[in-house]
Amino acid sequence: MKKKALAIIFIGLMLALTSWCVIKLYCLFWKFIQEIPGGLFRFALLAGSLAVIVVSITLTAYLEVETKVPVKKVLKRVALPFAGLSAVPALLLNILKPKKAPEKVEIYERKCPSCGWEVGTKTVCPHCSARTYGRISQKHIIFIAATLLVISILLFKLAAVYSETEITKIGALGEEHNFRHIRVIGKVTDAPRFYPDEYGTSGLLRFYLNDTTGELSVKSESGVTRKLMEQNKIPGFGDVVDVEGTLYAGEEYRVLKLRSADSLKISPRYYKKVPLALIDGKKEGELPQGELVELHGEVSAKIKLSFAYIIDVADEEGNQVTVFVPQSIIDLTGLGDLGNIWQGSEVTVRGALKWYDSKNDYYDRWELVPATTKDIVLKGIPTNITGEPGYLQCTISDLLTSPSSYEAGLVRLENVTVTDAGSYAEGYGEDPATRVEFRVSDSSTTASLLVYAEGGATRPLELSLGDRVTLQGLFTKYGGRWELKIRADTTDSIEKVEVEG
Amino acid sequence: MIPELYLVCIFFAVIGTFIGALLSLIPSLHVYNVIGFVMLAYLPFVGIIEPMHMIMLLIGMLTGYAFMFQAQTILLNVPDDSTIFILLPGSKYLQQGRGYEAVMLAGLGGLLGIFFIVIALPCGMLALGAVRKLLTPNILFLVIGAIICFILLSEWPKDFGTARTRLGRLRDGWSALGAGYLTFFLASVLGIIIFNTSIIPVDRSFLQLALPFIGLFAVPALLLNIISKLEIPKQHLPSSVDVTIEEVARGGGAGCMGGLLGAFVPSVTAGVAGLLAGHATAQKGDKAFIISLGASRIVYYVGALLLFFLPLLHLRRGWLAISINMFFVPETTEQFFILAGAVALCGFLAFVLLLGLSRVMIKIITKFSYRKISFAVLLVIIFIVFLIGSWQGLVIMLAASGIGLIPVMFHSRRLNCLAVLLVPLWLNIGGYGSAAAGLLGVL
Repeated sequence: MKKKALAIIFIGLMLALTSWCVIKLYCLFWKFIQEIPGGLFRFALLAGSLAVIVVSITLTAYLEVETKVPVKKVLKRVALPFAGLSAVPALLLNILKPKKAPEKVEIYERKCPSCGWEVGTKTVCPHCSARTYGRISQKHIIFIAATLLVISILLFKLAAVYSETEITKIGALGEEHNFRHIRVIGKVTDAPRFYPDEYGTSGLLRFYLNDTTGELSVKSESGVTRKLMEQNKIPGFGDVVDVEGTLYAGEEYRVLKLRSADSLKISPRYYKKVPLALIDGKKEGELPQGELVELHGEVSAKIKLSFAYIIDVADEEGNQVTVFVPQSIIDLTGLGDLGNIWQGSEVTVRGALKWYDSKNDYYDRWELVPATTKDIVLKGIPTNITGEPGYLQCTISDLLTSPSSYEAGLVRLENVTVTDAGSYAEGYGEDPATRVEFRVSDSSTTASLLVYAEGGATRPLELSLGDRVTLQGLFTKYGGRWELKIRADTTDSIEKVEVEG
Repeated sequence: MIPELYLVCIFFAVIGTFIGALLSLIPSLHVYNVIGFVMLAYLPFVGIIEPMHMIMLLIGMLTGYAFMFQAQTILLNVPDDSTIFILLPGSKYLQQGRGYEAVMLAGLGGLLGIFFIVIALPCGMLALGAVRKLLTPNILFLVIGAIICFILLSEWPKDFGTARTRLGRLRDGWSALGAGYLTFFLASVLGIIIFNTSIIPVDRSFLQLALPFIGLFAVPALLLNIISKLEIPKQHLPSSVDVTIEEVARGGGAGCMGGLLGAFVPSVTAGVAGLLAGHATAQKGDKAFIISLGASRIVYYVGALLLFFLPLLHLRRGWLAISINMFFVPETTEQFFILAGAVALCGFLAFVLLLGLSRVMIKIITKFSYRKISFAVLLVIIFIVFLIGSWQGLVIMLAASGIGLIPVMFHSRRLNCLAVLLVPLWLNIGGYGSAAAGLLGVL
């Protein structure tokens, strides 16, 4: 909307400016042509339009070699309309045969036009040596300068012609296209890979595209990846994407580097609702690879691996389909409902079909790979590990004795003691927008558990050693250690327990 | 980019042109100094403000400045490195009451430069690409070396004087020549020091190079105005210029050629490049010379940025192109045409502004004493230098002014002052920069 409003304001301003310029130029124009012979003027106009055509064609011919924009397109959009605009008035002038401009009469001015001294009838000023005849008028110079406005419009028109980068086939890309700005459209052949940077908030994103003529790797650096994450524009397996950027090509590699988040467009995803029975037990080739489908069922198993979540979804008839959620997708699109999904949860999952080739026929199967974690939707109330709704109340001993059982689960710890005030002791607790860390322990074990609260999470602003707190959050593993994560914008919280006396 | 958003680009370019033209009214303030601060302010907002909009603002500022500064050189006698050569013919016109005509001639040259860069550059991109391939560092070393030789040799022949003894004639012959070579030598030493050490506060060191230029060119000219008790006669505002089509063509052609040379070869500025092209085309007469330097200046400053955006070339020359490259990499043909369109528009606007604002300047210089104006300008310059480089900046300016006064006092050529840029870059390209700096003890 902002862009539209801005555009409307500028159009108004530019129209006003242009109208003023046109009126001024019109006045100057008629004064100008009265001073030169009509035939010469018409000849100049025709010659000018021809020159524009020649320049446009030459220019386009050069550019066509590199950008593959056909000459016809440029001719149609730029050269011909412009030539028409300039040639038609010239022809009309010829047909109408306007009054012949008066013959130029050399008038010897009494004063030198350059320095203003008296010169009488002399043709050269005795004071400054300037000629008093055959001079170029300032108005003519301004008129010539005004043609820059026409050239400017022409150049902007040419820019519009080239505003859309020509689509290139991946198979046609080679080393000769190195460092060129190119555009390709293709299908994402696998889930994107993500290499987080130091803080994990962004990083290097890489995915592969295939347009049936070849495959190309597309990557984005941290800054662009962050924008893609903010705009929820993470391409998923099976997506059709339109992408443009700089090509880096060598003998055995072709990498397209995204320069901005706007350079990536993902086609809308249309999912086909299918029963599990249609997928379960099908052999390779029996289903179309990458087809987008939507499934509904009950979670029969949820396994957390170091690189992915594996969720088995089953229906009442015993048909089962595995949903494979790579860690990269979680890093890029967040945990979503995954933390609330346990065995028995009812879910709807949308994703692309992918054949899992394990090199062992027994395990080979069709899997579903979602594009984002938002494609896994939990039906009903979120449940904890026991299948009950809400946070699971437990002790620190429960969590640390068999952590993998509770991983990615919502847990509640009541009345635990702060054994190390961490960030609070360092004075970082007072700002609610700051993330904090501290350690807690309870009577169930001598070990302590790390608590990590995100910036903006519900928490007290002051905590010190020995304080009692009740915590509820997500039990997770980060950087090789187990922690209770208190997330912002959720029901997760840290509450200080007031001790009587 | 959505074509509708070109209007926003145009808006930024127009604003930039007005800013650039108005900034040029402040004596000796180079637009690059201001752009440096604008860039520093912009860098934290790279993700918020569209880079192309920022580039439009900068190209507008540059075009406005490139046109308008010519009026300052001619009417106020405050040159920079690229307008130093207009000073003499400009002064002549000013003394004849034809300052406005000289400004019009320089502006006409600028217009030709704009026509050249928006029409001829895109048509010649393949040829320019081939030239670029030829200009390897070795060749550049030779080219700049040849230009240095030209500067040194063109001091000859000099008047042998009328002294009766051989020794007297030798002294007469070498007084101006020796002063020229001394200027060249001292400017080279100053250049090597400036290129290898940060004398002014580090956070503004990117503006350090501006200070010797102010000292070498602007300050001596102003001091000369003050000392010589120069008064400006009543200026006439003609409605036409005394120039033939042939002079326009010769001046414009040589200027565009020179400007392109300046834009292509590092350390060769518009002035010296225009002069070389003038020699190459056997140019004669003040009118063609002023037109030539007007064109050369535009092609040098504005053309250099267009070369950076030119498809198949992307030649990064000139301070602005290098600075823009800190936050933007030109990639598409569309970006080039947007920039070229903006340059054409800004060129027209800047020319109209040049005519209008130079009339205002003429009113001021004829109403007040030229000495007083020169003195006021000198104070403004000292203030600007202090702002840029603190007291260390003033020291650099004073040292450079001393060198810049030598050609004024001994009637040698100010061209030698350009050694401040040519020699250190030539040595750096040849790989001898560190050795030279080591010799001077500034490493």
